[in-house]
Amino acid sequence: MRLRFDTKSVAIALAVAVLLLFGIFPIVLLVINAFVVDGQFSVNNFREVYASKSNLMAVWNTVKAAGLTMIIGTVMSFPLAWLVGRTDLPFKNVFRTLIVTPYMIPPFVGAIAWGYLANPRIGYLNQWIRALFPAIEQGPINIYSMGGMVWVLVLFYFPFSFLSISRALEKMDPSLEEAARISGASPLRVLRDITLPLTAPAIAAGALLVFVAVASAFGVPSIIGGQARLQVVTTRIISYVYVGTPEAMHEATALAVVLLALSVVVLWFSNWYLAKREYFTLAGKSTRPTLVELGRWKWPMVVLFTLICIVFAVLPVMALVMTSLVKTMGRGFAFNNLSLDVWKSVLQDAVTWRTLRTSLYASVLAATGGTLVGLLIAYLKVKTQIRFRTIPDFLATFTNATPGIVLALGLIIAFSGKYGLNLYGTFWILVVAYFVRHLSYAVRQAAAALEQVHPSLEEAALSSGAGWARVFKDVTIPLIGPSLVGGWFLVFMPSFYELTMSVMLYSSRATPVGYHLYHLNSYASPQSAAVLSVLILILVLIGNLLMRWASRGKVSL
Amino acid sequence: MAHIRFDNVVKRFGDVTVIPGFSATVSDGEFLTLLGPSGCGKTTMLRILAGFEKVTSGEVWLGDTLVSSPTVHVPPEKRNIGMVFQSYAVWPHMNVFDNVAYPLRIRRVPREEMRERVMRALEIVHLQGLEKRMPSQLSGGQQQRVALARAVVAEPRMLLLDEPLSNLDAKLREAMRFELKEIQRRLGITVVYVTHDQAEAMAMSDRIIVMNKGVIEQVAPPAEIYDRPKSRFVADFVGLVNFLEATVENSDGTIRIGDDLVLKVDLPAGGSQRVLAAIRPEHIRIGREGSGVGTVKGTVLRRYYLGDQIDYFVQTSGGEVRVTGNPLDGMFAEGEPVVLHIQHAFAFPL
Amino acid sequence: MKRIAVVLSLLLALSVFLAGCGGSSDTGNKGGTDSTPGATTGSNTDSEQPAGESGPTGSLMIYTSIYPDIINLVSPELEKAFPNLKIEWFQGGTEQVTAKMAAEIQAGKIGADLLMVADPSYYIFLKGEDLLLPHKSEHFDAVAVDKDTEDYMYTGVRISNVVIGYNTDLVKPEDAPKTFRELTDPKWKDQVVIVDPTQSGTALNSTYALSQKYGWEYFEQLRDNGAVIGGGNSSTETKLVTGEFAVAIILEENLLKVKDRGEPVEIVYPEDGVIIIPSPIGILKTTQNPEAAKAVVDWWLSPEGQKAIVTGWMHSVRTDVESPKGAKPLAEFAPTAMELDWHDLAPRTGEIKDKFVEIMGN
Repeated sequence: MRLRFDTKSVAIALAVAVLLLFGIFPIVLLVINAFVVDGQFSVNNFREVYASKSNLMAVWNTVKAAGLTMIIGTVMSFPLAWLVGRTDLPFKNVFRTLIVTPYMIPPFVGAIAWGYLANPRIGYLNQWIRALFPAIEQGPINIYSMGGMVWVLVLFYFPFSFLSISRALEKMDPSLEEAARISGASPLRVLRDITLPLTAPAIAAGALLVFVAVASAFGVPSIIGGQARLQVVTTRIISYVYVGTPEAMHEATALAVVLLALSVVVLWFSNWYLAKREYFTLAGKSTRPTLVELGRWKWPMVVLFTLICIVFAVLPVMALVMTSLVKTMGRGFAFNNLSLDVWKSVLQDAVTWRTLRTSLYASVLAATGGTLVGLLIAYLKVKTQIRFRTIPDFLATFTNATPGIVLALGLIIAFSGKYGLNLYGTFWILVVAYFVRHLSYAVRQAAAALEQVHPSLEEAALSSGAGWARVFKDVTIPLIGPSLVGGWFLVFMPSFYELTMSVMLYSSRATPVGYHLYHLNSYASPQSAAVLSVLILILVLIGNLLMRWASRGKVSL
Repeated sequence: MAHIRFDNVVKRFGDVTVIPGFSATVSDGEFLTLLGPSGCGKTTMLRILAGFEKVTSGEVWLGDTLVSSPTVHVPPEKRNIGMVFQSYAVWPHMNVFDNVAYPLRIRRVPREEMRERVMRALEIVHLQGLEKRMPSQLSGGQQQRVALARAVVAEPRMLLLDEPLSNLDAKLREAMRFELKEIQRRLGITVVYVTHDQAEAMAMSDRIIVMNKGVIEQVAPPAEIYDRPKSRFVADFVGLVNFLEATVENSDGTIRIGDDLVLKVDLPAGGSQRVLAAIRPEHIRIGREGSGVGTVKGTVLRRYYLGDQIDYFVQTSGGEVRVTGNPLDGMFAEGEPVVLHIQHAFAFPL
Repeated sequence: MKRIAVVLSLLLALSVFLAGCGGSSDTGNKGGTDSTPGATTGSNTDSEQPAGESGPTGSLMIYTSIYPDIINLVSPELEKAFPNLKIEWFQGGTEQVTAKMAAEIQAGKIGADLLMVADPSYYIFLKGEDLLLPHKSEHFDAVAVDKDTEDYMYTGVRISNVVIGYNTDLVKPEDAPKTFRELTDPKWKDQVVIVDPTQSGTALNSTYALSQKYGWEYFEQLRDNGAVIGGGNSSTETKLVTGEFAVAIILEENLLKVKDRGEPVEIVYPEDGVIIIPSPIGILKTTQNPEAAKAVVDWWLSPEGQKAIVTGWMHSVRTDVESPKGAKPLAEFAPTAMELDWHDLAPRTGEIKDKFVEIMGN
């Protein structure tokens, strides 16, 4: 291949360089750091770290929590996705939206909410249960346990699996199932013989996604697990980072590398398995799938779904709102004990606005950079013939699959000035972290949109004498505009309320709102945290509506 | 074997009426085709017959059994029907044998018998020896045959085919037409076939139902559909046709087109003075001389040579007329004066 | 394209709105700065202006573990005292602040000019690393607690006490625990919540003190008795006032504050010794604005500054300032206080935290 120094090559090369510098370099450095002590290759780090009983427990807890969440989440997702996608369940579009609401709620906000709902002594749920059944004196629900933590994790991470299965069901040619019906199989038999085997790859992929996401989660374990005395790998890493000494950083890297290896293996396995197993079924004409009739199960299912939606979406939000409105926490939620004082103090606090502003600026920059770089990387993959053109896309997927905590650690090591660039302790490291972690969303959106743009459209413009940059601006971008906006939001939203990396990368002059919330909840004022949680939820909701509208319904969380 | 009866079937999706009222019967062993443009409701009717859609009102009978009505709905798996889908719907996770054997497994047919029947079905569709292949290793045409074998293996009382040939390439499609007809004859099975391709419909059907916007335009054997279309739509949809405005000269069916073309046709009811004459290009012979009823002078505007035929566009006093010429009759040059002999024409209200 | 334009303008409006909100508060903080054209904020060090009547100029970053509500309380007074100085706060639990400091020290970019965290041993560590700037305040002699009398590197500025709090809805006064020791008694099974020393400096100090006095067995017994880590002092406080737990080992100032608000809590000054923590203030050597830093230290140690401390429910380091409302005077429990050797603790903080996590972790 000949190198040509035209606009196109330069732009693409720059995009790839940015990804390599800010995404890959820190991760590679982290791995090297974990194995090299004083310039010598050594596994001493690992030996030391994994000699500690509490670290081993943390690894075991991580595997246990992630494994249980994966199993429960998947077992729950399939019937829900099937009921919503393949039956005549009434109001299913409403249910579909509500059921994945937890996807929009930052998990640590959810964990805070569930702390209020289900702590053993004064959790709202427990109080109601005890009021209903006076025979029960204690509990009965204890959110501060492995079971409780898994419960909250399931609620907030099962949408990965649900969405993966739902998408597979939507993509599947309905006549595959109809062919079985007409062959004489009952709906349940069709489910067993056709639907389940054909969606198996999606089920597996969704399950693995849940596993990795939970293993890298920090918000829920730090809030629920802390009180349950359940350490996981991420909380151990944060503790080491908070100790702050070089030795502690070494130990943190040793833990992080294991988490990284886990994610990479799972990502690789799931790609390989999917590539092997995904069935390309020729889609028929757009017949709507025959809906299985629920018959007398119809209304019981509606009740069940309503309950699920209440538990998933309504209860946590309600708990937060209730907590935020209480005047004295000791008196509980009663009409003579309500006030807007906490709201007033949070809204008047300059720190609230300063952190919101920091997060807004950082995520706008990350999203804009992500959209630009993502577009170029997608263009490279979809529209050029260069060898290795898919590698940057893969690398973006890789930095996305890298647990946030690992990435943040890598960024600290790489950009503390030791290698020329000193971003740590500044606002810019937040931008870089958000950008690198969420870049692949933008790439995916842009790639999907670019695939729809027929080459002849661009060729027509090129043949009429316009340069590449001009064609890109005049033809390509307007065609894929809505998808780009969607991609922009997909980077912006999770960056805005990001917690895990923020907890490690915040600084005195750049404190993002995610960290502020974490800080309020664990240190300064849990009630203010409830207010801020509600505030963030409202902003996320508005953002999601805006995103749907701006991308013409193409993209939503 | 089944006698199918649709009795004033109405289908609405929400506020949209797709089928305003459909009545028809299919006799045992008949090959019936539902023909019409996309969106005409033919697939909906097929899906109603298969049991994938319910009827809003009306009844569907299979033999002596009421299978669909607003209160009765026999689900697809209880109707004992074989069906081939447009996308073939061959299950990608099962090999050829398992795909074909599936209806028999559901019916708990003993192993040995099942094997025998699957093999027989594969033989009918010429897929012997491929039973261990996975669908991804088969060509489109082969997948099509798997779907067909699966549809007939359980000896259903009828076979439904939903645009089964539309995903095949042109040559294969042609060959499959005859093969499908041959299989139907051999099995003596009732077939309901849905297509938008009139050539397929003409080649295979005993009778054709031409549908437009949910309404039956005509039910008749292929030749009658072609030669005596009942409506302008049918004439237009099935085959090519020249439409020319004409004045009625006499109530015995004499009409005049332009200055000099006089034709005899069956006049539509209504007694209007103006009608639309329809003439198929192949019902016109092109020559250099002649006069009288059914002839008209003209000039060749354009000529397209297609090998087996020649398409002429001829300017006449009544308008531009398309003519299919036989190469055996000689060639006419562009600009050459010609005389057209109209052999057959029909008339529709304007 | 139109939609994109709408989204962009909405975002712009949002950032202007947020900037507006912050801006108005900032103006509040800055006080008269805006009306004094000469004294702009920004670069501060080689300000040509004499630090005359108008006091120090420029900006000053304070890292602190003092609660935000107290910062909001003293901010107006500081503005009054230093009208031309822009003071910025970075607030967090002591252990979070020191972790941030550790990272900044590594990166060679210390953001703080002034440090006000709880744990006195941390200042010994900083002094050992030669990171502090000596300053003998004009009020130095009035300070009655621990201070660096050799080099004047730091001075106690506020006194926090780790005590026992109980929820009066759940525990009658006569049943209330009298000592830290008895919290391992089955009587208090599953009732006790304690603060996390990996988050709070005072909890680190109390963990150290209790482990010195009773050995690590004390925490093992607490754990076996169902005691739970409640996070930082405030989230632990919440668990106490809401009745999730009946008893807490917690800071006196948290209890005083919520008691004043009407929450059902009461304070016990344990007979086996209150843990008294004289939290210091110190100037970082790397400061770009030493004059301002020194002036602010002096203000904190002055009677005005100390009154602010007391309003914030902590005890003053001066004997001429009275105790916070509702608190026992320091003199009454100081004689029986638990012993603490800050120099012994200074190099061992990591070890203490590790040991604690190991015991309480799983």
